Amino acid sequence: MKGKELLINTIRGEETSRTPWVPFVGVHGGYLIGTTADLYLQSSELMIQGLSKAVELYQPDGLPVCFDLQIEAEALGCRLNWSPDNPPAVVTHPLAEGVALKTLKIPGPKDGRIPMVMETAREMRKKFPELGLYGLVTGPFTLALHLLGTDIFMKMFEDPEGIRELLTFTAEVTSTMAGYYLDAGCDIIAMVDPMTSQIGPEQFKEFIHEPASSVFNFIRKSGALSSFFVCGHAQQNIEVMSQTGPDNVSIDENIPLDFVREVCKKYDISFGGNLQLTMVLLMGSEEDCMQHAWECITTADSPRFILAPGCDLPMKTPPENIRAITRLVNDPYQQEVIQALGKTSSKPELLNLDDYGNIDKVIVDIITLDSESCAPCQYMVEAVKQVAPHFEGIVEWREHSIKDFEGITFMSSLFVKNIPTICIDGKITFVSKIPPKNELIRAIQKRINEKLKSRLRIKPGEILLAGESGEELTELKRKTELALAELGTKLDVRIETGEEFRQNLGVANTPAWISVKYRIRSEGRQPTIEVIKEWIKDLL
Amino acid sequence: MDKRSPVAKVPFFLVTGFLGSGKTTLLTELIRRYSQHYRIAVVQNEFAPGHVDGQMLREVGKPFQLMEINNGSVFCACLLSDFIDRLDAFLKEARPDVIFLEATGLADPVSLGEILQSPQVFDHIYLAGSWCIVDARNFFPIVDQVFQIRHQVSIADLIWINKTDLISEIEPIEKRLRELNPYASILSTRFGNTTQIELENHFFNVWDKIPVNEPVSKVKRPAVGACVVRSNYYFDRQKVTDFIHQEAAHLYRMKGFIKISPDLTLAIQTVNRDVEIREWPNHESGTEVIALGPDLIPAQFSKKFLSLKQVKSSYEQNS
Repeated sequence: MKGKELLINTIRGEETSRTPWVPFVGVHGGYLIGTTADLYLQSSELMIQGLSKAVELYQPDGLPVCFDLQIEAEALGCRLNWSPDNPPAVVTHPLAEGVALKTLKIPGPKDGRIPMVMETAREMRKKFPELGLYGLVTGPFTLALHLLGTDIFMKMFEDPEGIRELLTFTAEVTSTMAGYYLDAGCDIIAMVDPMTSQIGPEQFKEFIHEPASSVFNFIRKSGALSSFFVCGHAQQNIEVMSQTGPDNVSIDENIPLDFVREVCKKYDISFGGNLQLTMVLLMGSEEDCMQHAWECITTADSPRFILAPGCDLPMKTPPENIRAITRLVNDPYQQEVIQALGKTSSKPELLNLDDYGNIDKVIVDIITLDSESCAPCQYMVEAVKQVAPHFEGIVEWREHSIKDFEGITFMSSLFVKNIPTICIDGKITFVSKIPPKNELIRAIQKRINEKLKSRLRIKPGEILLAGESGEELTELKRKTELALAELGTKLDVRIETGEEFRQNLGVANTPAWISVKYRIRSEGRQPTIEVIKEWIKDLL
Repeated sequence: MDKRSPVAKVPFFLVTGFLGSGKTTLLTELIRRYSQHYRIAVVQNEFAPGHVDGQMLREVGKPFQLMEINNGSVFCACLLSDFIDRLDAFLKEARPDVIFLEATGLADPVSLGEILQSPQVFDHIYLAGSWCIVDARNFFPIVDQVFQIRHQVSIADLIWINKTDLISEIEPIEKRLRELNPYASILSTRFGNTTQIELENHFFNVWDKIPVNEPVSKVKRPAVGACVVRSNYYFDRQKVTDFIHQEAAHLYRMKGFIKISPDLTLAIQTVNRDVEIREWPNHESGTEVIALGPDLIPAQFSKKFLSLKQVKSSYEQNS
């Protein structure tokens, strides 16, 4: 189960297979296709391209058609200032500049950018019938603030009737926009009213309850689902927001998810949020994003939870961060991995892995969640087990389960990011994918060859001094070391005094000075037996 | 390429306050009095009513650097992402000694502070403080109507009550400010006139080592790091108390609010080794802590701090 069905079931409290995931792609869609926010938000064609790219990259269960809270304000005469990196900003407030409320008209389907946005919604509906489509409408209070400016806060005190009248009007605009989105094929209407976070619950009840309820009533009567989005410090209002009758409440990082869950449970509604936008999605690493997404899912701990950012994704959010969350949501193994990693609060001391190069054997490390319980981990370990006998005595393999601290230390020391991973002599070689037998053999052989080669390169030859006793060789050793020093070179000088050794080498009289030279006869290929015989003869 | 020494970090001050409270007037005064000694930079919202195109600042006729931003509707952190790119470019170009950001009336000062931890600018600037301007005339009822005003007051280091000439008594305002912020210095001014106040003393109040009569650019500065930590978890009282005492020894300053339970918040402040911790019933948002210290690395500090949270978080346990 995925997409629209998963979202709808979650919101309705019916059975689901996993937590749905809705990355709020607004101007970030423009970033994905290399265009600016201003061009993106004024072109149906670009928005469809950006959203399609987001579907391809993030495999979301739902997406908003357009995340721009200025569409209604613009259609009502607010002047916008466009920016290449952000949604536009409202810079004039008609009601503060002498325009009378009664002269304002509910925007029609052809006003401002409304037709362009609805065209986007229709096309997205056609192109992705399984995707949950969100139509985002500006909530009555935020729209009123756009129309009147910050004077609204004083006027709530000085002229409450006037403000109620304004909010009745803006709520009608909100419902009308919701209707346009539903006609264009959207499944869920999200009423976004961030400015309500500025007021307390008493004011909310006095001013916002009625207009917001009228919007949600309209959506319910139209047979669609609704969500109340708020961002900022709105914890004090979650209860009164829930009383306006939305099907879902969506919040940002300022409010604890477990708090919202409890309030929403009381009102039998769904909830969503609250991935941190700046510190995690924009500035964090892939691993931070997965850890944090998992923290959201486990804190929410509810089948009625929708995983989503706290607000519109920052334009330049690294796509790989969002993709990491998609992997986490869809892959139970990733979840186990993150869970295992999350248990270690202290950072492990990194191991010194320089020794990998200095030992004769080739070490194959397999970093797993646990090959007993994780199928991909098990197959990866099996693959190595099968291949190891081919390199009897040369290759040593070890499994490091990250359920143990030792495993985590290894994982960090080897800079491994994904599970399972095969490292050969400390180098990440196969990530997540189980290598076919011959590929694994090739990789190990390559390392053996490299090691052999590097050993020979650093050891061009050596000197053997053979004698009856060490004493007999003292003078010869002194002369040899002096000669090496004068030549400015370094070679190993070995002393051999055993009778057997001298006989093997055919040394008749001592002291004897013997040179040993290593020659590379073949590199990076398998010579035939006949050729190898020739090289052996050369040594005899 | 920017050739500044990595230790020459520029202090960044937030100037917050509701619309019309006198933020631009204060900045005008700063420029008028100090632009000969310091390269002052101002970051201003291009479209905030009342100061289109920094016109009012320019009228002072003194040199200063202006960076205009266009976050007309600062709803939340999501609109701040391009700010860092612009700020980075501006720092390289303007090379100021001190920066003041004039925040819009509804801006969230903690989100603004948080974004300065971006690696792109972290080596060049640090959040040195937050000044909040309060309009004495409309303080009531605005303070009770608008959450962000209370929030801005609660995290300020310095609060200016402006336009006191327009009211009959200042005490109720001071009392309310103290309910929101136990530690900030509170100053009052008439007609937006700050001439009687040694503003300079407040520029660098974080390091006592810096002689205030030296032009800043001539003084070798330590590599100050600032870290903003926000969390909606509850914290273990004993652990945070120990942590604060330990950290105070290495920090210039730490301040903020730490949630212990739904009904209990600690208001904390450390200045060098002096530690003050008190129970504070009035904080409305979650845990918010700002720390300032030599070579402070935000990721490390926040990781350490967040490890003090209560094991099974908040609501369930305490409700």
